[in-house]
Amino acid sequence: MTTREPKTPTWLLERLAQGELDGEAAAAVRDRLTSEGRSLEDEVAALERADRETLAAHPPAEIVAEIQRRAAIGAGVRSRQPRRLVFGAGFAMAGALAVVLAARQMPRRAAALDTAPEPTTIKGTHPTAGSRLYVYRHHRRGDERLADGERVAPGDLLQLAYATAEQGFGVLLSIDGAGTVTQHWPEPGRPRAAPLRPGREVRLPSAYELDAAPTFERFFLVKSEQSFDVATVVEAARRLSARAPEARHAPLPLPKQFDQISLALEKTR
Amino acid sequence: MALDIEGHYRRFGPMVLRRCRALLRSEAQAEDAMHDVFVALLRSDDRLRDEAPAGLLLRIATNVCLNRLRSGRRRREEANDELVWQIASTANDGEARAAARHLLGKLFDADDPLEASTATLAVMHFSDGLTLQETAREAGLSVSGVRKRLRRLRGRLSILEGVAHDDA
Repeated sequence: MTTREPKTPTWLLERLAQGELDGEAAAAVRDRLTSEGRSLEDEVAALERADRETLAAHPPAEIVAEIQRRAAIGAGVRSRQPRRLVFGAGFAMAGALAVVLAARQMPRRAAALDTAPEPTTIKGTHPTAGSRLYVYRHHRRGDERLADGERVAPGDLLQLAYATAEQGFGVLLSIDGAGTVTQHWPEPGRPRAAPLRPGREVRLPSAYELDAAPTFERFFLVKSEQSFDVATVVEAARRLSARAPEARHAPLPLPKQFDQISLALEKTR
Repeated sequence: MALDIEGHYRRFGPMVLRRCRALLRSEAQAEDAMHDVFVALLRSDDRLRDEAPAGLLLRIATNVCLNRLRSGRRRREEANDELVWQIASTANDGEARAAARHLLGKLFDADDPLEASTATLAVMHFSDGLTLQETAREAGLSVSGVRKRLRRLRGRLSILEGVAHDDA
């Protein structure tokens, strides 16, 4: 019996792509690929494409809910019927944690969101599990979901995403340590809040490169059941960003009909 | 802190699914197996601190898929990879007896889903094309230990190959 796969083992290629091989082993894989007329960069890019396609076809919220359901049920009880998975928005690599800050309580009617696994820090007097704000940092090998309070640096490429249980309208913006307010979504110039897509996680189509503004960058998702003017939220953000200490943790000064979620990142030089 | 299963799925899920597809040759079975791989990971949370997760998940995925092949969820005629099917079927020692029970029982009550079974070592070496040294490194075993375990399995595989040949 002989080894049947003459090509570089996919096992090793997968581990190399994940950055898990040491220098010597990685060099050996690269050399082996080269001897086969293949390029490591091309192979890694192909894996990345496949990753994106898989995550789009098998959304994390659905998969994780099923994993947790099986884990909770334990041995011998779970369904054997393979689930039919719906195509939808899904994305690449990640880490953990979202921060939820609510101005008022929202009904809990999104099972998919309620079963999301990551630890959720809840601030404010009316915590909610109905909406989440995610910030991803882009790396060459994929995206890392950032936790509240995590350190970021100028030049980091960030992408924002949200998940919500309910219909409504939203605005995503950020304030930084220099007092600047940046509107991320809807696109700057659009006067009205954008309709939210309840259910799965939704990533914004564009990324955001951090500048050299000092100390912190704080992102907000503001939502309401009724459509509203973006300017209302931008003005509230400007007022908050002008109050240096509070800007890092206080809610936006908005009327009660708005829900808000925030996630703050610490800036390093 | 609890395992960030969503983070792990986002980062490694596609890789795990590719592994399950390669072994099971069935999209539906692979999707189902992928869930079980992450259930195993979740259940082993307290032991995962110092190990490279991709290597660990590839190993768990291989164990899970071989268990499925052994326990008859995939009939032989459905399996495109004869060698993998034989390896799965031939590991008829304690590992296989445990695998005859329900998959999750196998995973969580008896054998260790994190460890490479002999059949898993065989797939890594004979099917995936890892060298003995690479197989040993990936499994956290010595080369001589891997060689010894594969030698035992190789004998059983040869018998099976002979039977298959005679049948033909």
